[in-house]
Amino acid sequence: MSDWPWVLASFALTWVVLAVYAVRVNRRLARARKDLTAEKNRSNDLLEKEI
Amino acid sequence: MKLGPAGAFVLVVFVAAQVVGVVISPAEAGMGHLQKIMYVHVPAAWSAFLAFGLVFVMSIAYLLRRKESHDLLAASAAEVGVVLTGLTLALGSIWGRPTWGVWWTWDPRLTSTAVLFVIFVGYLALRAFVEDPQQRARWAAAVGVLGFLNVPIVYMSVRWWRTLHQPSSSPATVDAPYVWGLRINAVAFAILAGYLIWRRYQVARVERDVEELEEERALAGGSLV
Repeated sequence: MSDWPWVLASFALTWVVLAVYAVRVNRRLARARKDLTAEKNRSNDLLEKEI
Repeated sequence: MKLGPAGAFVLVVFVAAQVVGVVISPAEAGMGHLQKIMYVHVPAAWSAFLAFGLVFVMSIAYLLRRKESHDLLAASAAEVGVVLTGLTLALGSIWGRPTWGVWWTWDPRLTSTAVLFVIFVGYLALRAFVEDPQQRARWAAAVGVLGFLNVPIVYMSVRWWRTLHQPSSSPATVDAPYVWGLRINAVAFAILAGYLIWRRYQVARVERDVEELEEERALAGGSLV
């Protein structure tokens, strides 16, 4: 049997795993930054109410 | 998803290195094109070792100084190390099937790598189950230091025991036509691993900031939701 299916499977698996992980981390970072902005706004609102 | 300058640089370097591995590097006389799997399998393993090395250093730093950033960086490196070790095992399995005739065998190199993978999956599980941040950081640091001790065992396993796995591939043991492909891919994987650890650390840092703000607001009498 040809070597190429094994070779291509290996490289494809590498690209998929690393791409999926990188996308997940970047999306989680975007979500966390959004949460941080929302949380800062809530804290500021609370502070304004107290004043 | 936006790719910043650092992400674009990492992507370009990685794609270029992979092109060298798949397209430019020659087929090996004995193994044919199957040898190209080395350009992903070996760099993935080395990068995982680097990531676990960072876990080791940051864990010791945390135990000495108790700085939260050291703990978060260790956790980020451990997660990336687990992804790369899982990938190493899967790629080794794909390479093993056509060359050895089996997907898996309890060879010392394979077994010690699988143990390394399980240890650091355990490290991540421990972090997920312990709620108190300081206790979590202390326990994780202990597991991180002990877990790293398996890395030299994985590396030396092909020398200490008679194994089915070939000796470690490195520029010193690989023939000249394949050295550059291996070097370039090793550097590309190391840069990618560094980038992923850095991004994962940013996630941990921002999530911790959110938690702190929530705690502050709760103490000030605001709602947690």
